[in-house]
Amino acid sequence: MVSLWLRVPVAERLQGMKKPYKRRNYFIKKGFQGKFVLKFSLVAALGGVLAIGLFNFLAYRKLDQMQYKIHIFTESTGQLLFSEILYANLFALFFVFLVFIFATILIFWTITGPLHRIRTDLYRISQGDLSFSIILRGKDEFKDFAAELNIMVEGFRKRFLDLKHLSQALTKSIIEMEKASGKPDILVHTQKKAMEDIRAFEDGLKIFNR
Amino acid sequence: MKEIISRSFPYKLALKSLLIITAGAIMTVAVFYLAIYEEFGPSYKESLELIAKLKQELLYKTIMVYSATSFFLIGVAVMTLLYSHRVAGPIYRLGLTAKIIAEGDLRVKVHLREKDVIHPLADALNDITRNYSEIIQQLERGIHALKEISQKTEALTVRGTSEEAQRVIDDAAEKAEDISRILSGIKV
Repeated sequence: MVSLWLRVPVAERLQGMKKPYKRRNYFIKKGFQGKFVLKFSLVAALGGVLAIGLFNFLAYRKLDQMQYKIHIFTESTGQLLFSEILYANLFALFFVFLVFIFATILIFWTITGPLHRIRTDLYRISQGDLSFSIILRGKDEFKDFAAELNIMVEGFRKRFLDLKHLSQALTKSIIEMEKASGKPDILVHTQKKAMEDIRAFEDGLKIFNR
Repeated sequence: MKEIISRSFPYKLALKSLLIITAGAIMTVAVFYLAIYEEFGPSYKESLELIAKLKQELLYKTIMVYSATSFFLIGVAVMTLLYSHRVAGPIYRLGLTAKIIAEGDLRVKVHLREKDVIHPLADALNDITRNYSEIIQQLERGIHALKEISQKTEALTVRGTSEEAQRVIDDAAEKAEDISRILSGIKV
């Protein structure tokens, strides 16, 4: 997929990146988003179950009491149980509110922890440090993203290592040239070798598109 | 240092989800009131019969009403899905960009939507492409200069003086040293 993308002309690729786009797939990181949605939906559903349970408890208690009363002052069943349904829902709402606040704080820390780590590591990489891999903790989110970044770092590491080797060979050739100074026969050979190393280094740089 | 995710992000999510649930609770109260609404009859006996009937049907009716109004849960699910996508979407996009960069393409830039929440990460990735692009540019300039010098050496070995050749070789050594110095800034 990436190789296909690389075949697209640069201008179009850059334009494509800048262009305001619409994300059609809203469920793109299924594991992360699934947990996110499930937690909130479960808490909301739990609030509903709590409201049903509490309301039935209160309502049955009131109806039992009503069966032993001599006078019934309310006009309808709706009026009779209105306060019970209201209190049950208010209590459930309060419960959901508390759990939601707790869940959001928890989710916030779960997300920001690894992202902060990744940002710190990206800064190190931008400063020229390719000697490490981004490592997240066991249960951290975004491990797949960290793996993608590690592939990028590994690619850079390999290319720059090659360039370093080529640079060493080039420096060696130049030293040979210095040694051969004043000896035209040897200098011609060392100069050819240096030119070969220069071309090899140029090829090494061509792997990068900037 | 700018926060990766604004602190208001989770609270907005919680608040919006709560608003949906509150709306659901209000609707449930209203629907339930109407579902069980029956006026008590004129006689005491009729009223007792109505209460007995209500006791029999209460749990069933409660479950039915809550099930009917549970579509608000879908609202909560959609809301959390959209909010989680503000993190997951950019992460996916950054991952895609990282793959392109891994191929050696340093021209790509990440542009996130205004509502996305991980702009600092996109900036960090853009810094990487910019910094490495500069390094490659410096190396290209260095190797280009070295190539020119080397070509001069070629000509001088044939027809120049040894002093001239020595000077040019010294220049070449200096340029090679420059390249080596640039690369030494990269820790592999």
